[in-house]
Amino acid sequence: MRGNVKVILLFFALPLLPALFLQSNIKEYSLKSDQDFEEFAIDLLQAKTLTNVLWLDSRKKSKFEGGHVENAIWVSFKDWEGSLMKIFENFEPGQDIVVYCNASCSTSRNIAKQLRQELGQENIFYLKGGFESWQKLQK
Amino acid sequence: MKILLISILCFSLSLHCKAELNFAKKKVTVNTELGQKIVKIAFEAKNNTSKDVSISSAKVTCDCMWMTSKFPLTVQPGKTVKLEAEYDTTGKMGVNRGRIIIDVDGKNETLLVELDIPTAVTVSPRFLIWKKGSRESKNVIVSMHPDWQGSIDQVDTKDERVQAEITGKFPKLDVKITPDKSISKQRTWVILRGKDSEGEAIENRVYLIFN
Repeated sequence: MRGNVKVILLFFALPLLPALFLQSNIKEYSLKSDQDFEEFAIDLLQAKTLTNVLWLDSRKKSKFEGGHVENAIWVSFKDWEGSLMKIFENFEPGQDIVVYCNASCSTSRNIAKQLRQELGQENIFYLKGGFESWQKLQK
Repeated sequence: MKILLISILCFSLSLHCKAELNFAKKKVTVNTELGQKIVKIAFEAKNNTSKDVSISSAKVTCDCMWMTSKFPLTVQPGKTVKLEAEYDTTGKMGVNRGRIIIDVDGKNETLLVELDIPTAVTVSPRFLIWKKGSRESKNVIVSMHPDWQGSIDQVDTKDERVQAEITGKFPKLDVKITPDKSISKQRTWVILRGKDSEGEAIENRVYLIFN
């Protein structure tokens, strides 16, 4: 009886193994490219602990106009010089900068990386989970 | 022994059933050339099963990317299919990712595209901060991509109390910026001017904050 149970369990469990392997491979693809950016990722709870933050919204303009983090500035690589000007007008020395976009997009990470390089500062982050994580916390 | 045999049989069967389309790579990484607007991307997959496999549709996660392969398409047993897409790099910099989700016999397969899009000119730092009254000189480094055909050869200051001069040569310039001590708490900038690869005028600003 006990032997039969083992066979039945194996029969159902084994077909799942390949799926597990495939799944782990897909996760690995994502993680490899995320590693370069991990040091300047920040989640919303961490961002909330920052006292003086300049929020940058890197989603599409229409999405920004439909709602954004309070006092956030819209920035885009398409008009990078214009975006830098807007940051300059609003930035206060010592201020942390947090960039966000949608949960699945990579623009905020690239903008944070570019700003770290161009501003020569390390207190510039991108928001893990994107605007959606901020929205969830408002509900 | 019986258990072992059944287990091996189940495992083999499950592997056979799962791998309907066998992709050579599920992630494509492209190091984009400077100025390359459209990047072609291709994924190859082989049908290792004994029956036809149908790819009914493909969705992309970014409006900067589109499929050039037409759907639906059928892959016969033992045949290889190439799924092709194009990516528009306009207005993008750095590492960009996109996903292609294809429907293979009713099941989703996710393919990942990663492009490293180079920058022609990087100015660092863009923001310089002084305490008001300081006369300390600060330096800005201008790094140009080795393949870039443009030039930066002039620096203008918006406020004449700020002096700026360029030294060095392609692909790395050094801009030395020195303020006058009479500058009070204010903001200004200097402009680096030059021409891009097409001969069009370009400018990059360095922002100065006197705090």
